[in-house]
Amino acid sequence: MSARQLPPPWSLRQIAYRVAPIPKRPRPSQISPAWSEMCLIIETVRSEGLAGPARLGCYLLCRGEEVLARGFFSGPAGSDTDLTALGQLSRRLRLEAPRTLEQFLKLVYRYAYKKRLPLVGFGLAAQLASVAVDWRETDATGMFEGAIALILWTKPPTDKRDKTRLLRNGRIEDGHRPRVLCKLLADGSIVLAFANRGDPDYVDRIAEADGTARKGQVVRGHFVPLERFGYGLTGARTRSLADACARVGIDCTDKEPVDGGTDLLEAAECCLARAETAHRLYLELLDEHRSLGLTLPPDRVFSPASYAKATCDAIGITPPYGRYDGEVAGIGAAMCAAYGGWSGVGIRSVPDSPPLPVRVIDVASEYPVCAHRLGIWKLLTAERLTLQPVEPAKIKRWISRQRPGTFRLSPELCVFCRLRPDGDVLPHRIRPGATWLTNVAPLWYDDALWWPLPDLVRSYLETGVIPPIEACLTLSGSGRLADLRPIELPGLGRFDPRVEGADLFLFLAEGRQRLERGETNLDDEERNRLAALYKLWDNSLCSGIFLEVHPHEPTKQPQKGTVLGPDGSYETEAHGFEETGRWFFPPFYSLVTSAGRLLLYLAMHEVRAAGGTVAYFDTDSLAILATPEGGLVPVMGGRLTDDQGRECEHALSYAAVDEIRWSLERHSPYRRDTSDMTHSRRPSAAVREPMLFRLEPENFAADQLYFLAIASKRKTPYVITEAGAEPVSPSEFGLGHLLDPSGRGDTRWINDGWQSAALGGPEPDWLETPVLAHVTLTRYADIARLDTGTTASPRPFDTLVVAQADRIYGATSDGGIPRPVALYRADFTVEQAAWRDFATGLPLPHAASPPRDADEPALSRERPLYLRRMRQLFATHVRAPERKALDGNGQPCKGRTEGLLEAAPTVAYRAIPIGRETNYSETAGVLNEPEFTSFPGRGREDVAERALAVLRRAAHTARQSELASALGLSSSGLRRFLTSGRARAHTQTRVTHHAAVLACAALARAYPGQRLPEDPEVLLFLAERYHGLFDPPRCEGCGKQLNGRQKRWCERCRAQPRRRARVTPAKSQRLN
Amino acid sequence: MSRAEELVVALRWGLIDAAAKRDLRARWFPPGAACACGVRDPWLLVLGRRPIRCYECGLRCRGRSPYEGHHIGGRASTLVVPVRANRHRLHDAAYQDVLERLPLTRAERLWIELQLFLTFERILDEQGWPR
Repeated sequence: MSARQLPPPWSLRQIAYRVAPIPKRPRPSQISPAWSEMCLIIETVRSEGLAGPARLGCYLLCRGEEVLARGFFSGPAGSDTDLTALGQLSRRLRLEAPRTLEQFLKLVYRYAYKKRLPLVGFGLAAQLASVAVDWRETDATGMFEGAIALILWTKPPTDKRDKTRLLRNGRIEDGHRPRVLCKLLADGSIVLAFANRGDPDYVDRIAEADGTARKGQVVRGHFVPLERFGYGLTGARTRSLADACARVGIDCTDKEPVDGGTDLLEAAECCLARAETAHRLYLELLDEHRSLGLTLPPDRVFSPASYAKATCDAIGITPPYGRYDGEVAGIGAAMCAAYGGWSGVGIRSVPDSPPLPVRVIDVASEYPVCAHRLGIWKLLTAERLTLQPVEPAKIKRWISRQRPGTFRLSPELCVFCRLRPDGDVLPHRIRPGATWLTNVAPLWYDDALWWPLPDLVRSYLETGVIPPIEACLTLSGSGRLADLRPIELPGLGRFDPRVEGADLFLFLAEGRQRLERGETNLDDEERNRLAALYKLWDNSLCSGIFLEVHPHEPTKQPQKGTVLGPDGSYETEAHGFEETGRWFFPPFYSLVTSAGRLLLYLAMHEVRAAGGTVAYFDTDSLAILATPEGGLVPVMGGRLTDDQGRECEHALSYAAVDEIRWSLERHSPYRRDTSDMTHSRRPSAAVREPMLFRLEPENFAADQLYFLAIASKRKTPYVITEAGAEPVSPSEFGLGHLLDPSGRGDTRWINDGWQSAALGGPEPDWLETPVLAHVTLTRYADIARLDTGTTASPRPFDTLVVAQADRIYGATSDGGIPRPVALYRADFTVEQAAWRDFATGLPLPHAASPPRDADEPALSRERPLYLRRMRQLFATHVRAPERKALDGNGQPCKGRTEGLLEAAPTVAYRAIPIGRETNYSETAGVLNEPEFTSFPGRGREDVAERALAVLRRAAHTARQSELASALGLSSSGLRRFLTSGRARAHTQTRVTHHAAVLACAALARAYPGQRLPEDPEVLLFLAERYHGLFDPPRCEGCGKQLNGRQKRWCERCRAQPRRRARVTPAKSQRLN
Repeated sequence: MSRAEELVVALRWGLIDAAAKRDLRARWFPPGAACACGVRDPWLLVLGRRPIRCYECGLRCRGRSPYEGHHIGGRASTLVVPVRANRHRLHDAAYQDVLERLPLTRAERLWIELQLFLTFERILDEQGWPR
């Protein structure tokens, strides 16, 4: 930035870096007991389909494939006549006699609690909630903090005091029975457990796999929600039992849950069929689970990452933090350097833009490859790990030797560097909208933060300037874990970590490639399933599990706590702290993701060096402007012109793209012949394709693939046929959570929407339907807010229909945009639903379509709830600006911006320490904005410091009485404030604003005609950085720093009148 | 429901209960838990002892006799047969709990239990359990 040029207002941003909770020494892996052969499967029919209490239910008590007992039970919404009808049906189907709810709960208590049998079901939390009598917010701490406690077991009230404890069914809670705790984890999984019960007996206190009764031991039970178990094994989140069955190849002809309002017998038979399907699904999943040969119990499977961790345990690897003997501050530095994937748009298209022909390539297992190249496996299996200081000059020398054409990822990159970025191209988080985005662009910031070395190398390769490194920490390991053991992985064979050169990351990545190529004896379905599983498994293993933190439930009042910042631990106040996972070790995560960004940059560099252009990139994939023969392609703002005078960019030929892929093959660790993993890495003639940078399957959808990129994650490849442009696997970002408006029950509507809104395709007939989504109620606060005190109130895990209010006509009378929700009932219609505002719980008027013409008088007379339609959603969706980029003229990207984009530089006026973003991932972005917790650092904030400095300076040059009056303080009050710097909140606000006014005036004089920002904090920052406003006042005679009450002259000059006379008053710098 | 039906239902649930109880007991011990004498049956292993011991070895360690009196027909019965402690526990696990749930008269129970005792003794002999 030039000295006489202020940075443009859009570049002045707040940035964020991650801080870590203080890590705990990880506990050793626990011995898991053998998994039970028996299980209790439950399935209910709720009175409103996906909401309301259960009308009836069905249970299966099984041992393996054998069903020992099966029968129906009547739910809280069932009646005596239902029980009679169920009795007749049970006799006909030769089932157990139907049970009342009380009898059923007795069965659950006996087998799921006392005998600790696994309780299994699809949507188990919702099934249990549907038979619950009441619910409370739990006061548990730890994992179940903020969970919903379901009350299932009740008894009649016996004395007068009990009347104050009456539950919704007019009875009181049975204190000798446990509650069921349900908690939604940050990753979207639901975890269930029994709470403690009153007077637990000796048997309850016996710990499993230990056999010893201990005081305080609680029976947690074994809950196996099948959707969670299935996600762990397939990596796919499923919304229905049929979907979950399809993922593991089970035929499921059962209908979706019917509502209790339909024919009882039909509902009961459907319920029984679903329970039997759930049994088959459980057996299939259990079979797959056992085939992995791990000791992980199924109720501890939350995601594929659970298997990744269990694999480490099985191999004999202990959590890395337990072996770390460096300074804990090093962990804070590594956490500060943690950034995720990098995505962006190179050429932005709008719906009418000329088509961009591309080749889409992606890196095969990018993070595992990076982890392998960095030697993370060796570090993970080292006996001791440490972060040691290293001389910055040494690292600078190493960086200066790197060249893009010869650079290779290597273990030398395992270094973290502290620097004050001065235009270096580094990753940083910016927040142009509701969420933090990772931007990789020139960054200026006055304070020092940490970055991993691969990011610095990238900056050097791009700018040619070595970043101003102040300190370095290098990650190193010594020795080797003693108890490493081989494991057998289905479809991949044996992995022996004791063999020299063995690397599980690479073993899984290569194994996955073999599975994808069909080089195994498995059937296609099994191969695809295993390949998908190992992909998630490998990625978790080399990056995700090392950054696992669990946010605590936010409190109303801020709490004190300690976190690890870039300079070590500090005390702070926040509404919710975090807890580290057992495998938490951010150095691994930061290095692997950073190497991934570097690898992507190297690929982009190769493309640019070959004269090509990257149209879009995202973490591990690139869309390169390319045609079969190469040539010029019209691109707005392009650097070349064609014979028609149009602005163009050069498209590479397919051969040139292949050449780039082959040249990038130098980074590939893959053996050419992966069919025999035990042999040495000898090239095989059989492999004719580069193995690292692969062509995506979309490239083969037609002779030429085109690409339309609107913003990060909002893009679609497409092909042009005689019928017009057709999207090929468009991104579901921002759309995937919505209900299918076409009623086909699949995601083809997303294709149709993209085709219509962005590619000029035909309009689908559902464009005028409202935008709806389904969300499950999982937080107690939300349930309490929407509780109307009637039977129609929502229950835990009820399904809500979420609509979007029209952005123009949908505002309430106070100007706010409500978030309309309604309970999903069997007979749900948009028009008749009872809508409520999710944020306040207040009722909203009936829903209606927005008026075609803005009829202001009509709008003011009658204000129904105007809902947003799919047409408006798609129109906005395909015009979302790429918020972290600039157009060809150096202006921020807008909705209509077209053509070449470049990353927007950032001048950071503040960096805030934050924790994990998005506490409630299920509803984030749908019902609430993604949340993050900031952990303010020690001492005063920058803005307060800067304001105080301005006022101290002003007090030297202006009359103190004027300043005191402007701030509403007495003279003595002003003196006290200037001395101590302490002020009450409202005085501090006045001080900040007054200081900003002074700063604004000074900047306007110094930089005439330049646009100034409006934010007081930014003005103070600019005044400090670009105008030196906060430099301490100096003597006008000799330039010595003044102190005390000295205003213009130091003590020496004050004593020399002739010297003072030489300095004219006009030369003195005054604020006013 | 007739008495026969009642008995069938009670027997079925009794067997389910016994299976669940055995299942739970197996999970109280770490996988592969066994006594030094080679006994692995979770019914015979003693809870909360390190090293893990079977019931009979536990008695021996305490200097007690490895034989116990088995009451055929319930605790109130005077028909007592001396059996090895481990065998005694296996008898209990196999049918005692189930029989206790059944609505039987004293004579019926005595007769059924005697039959079961003899049958089960033969099975245990076949399996090689020491007498």
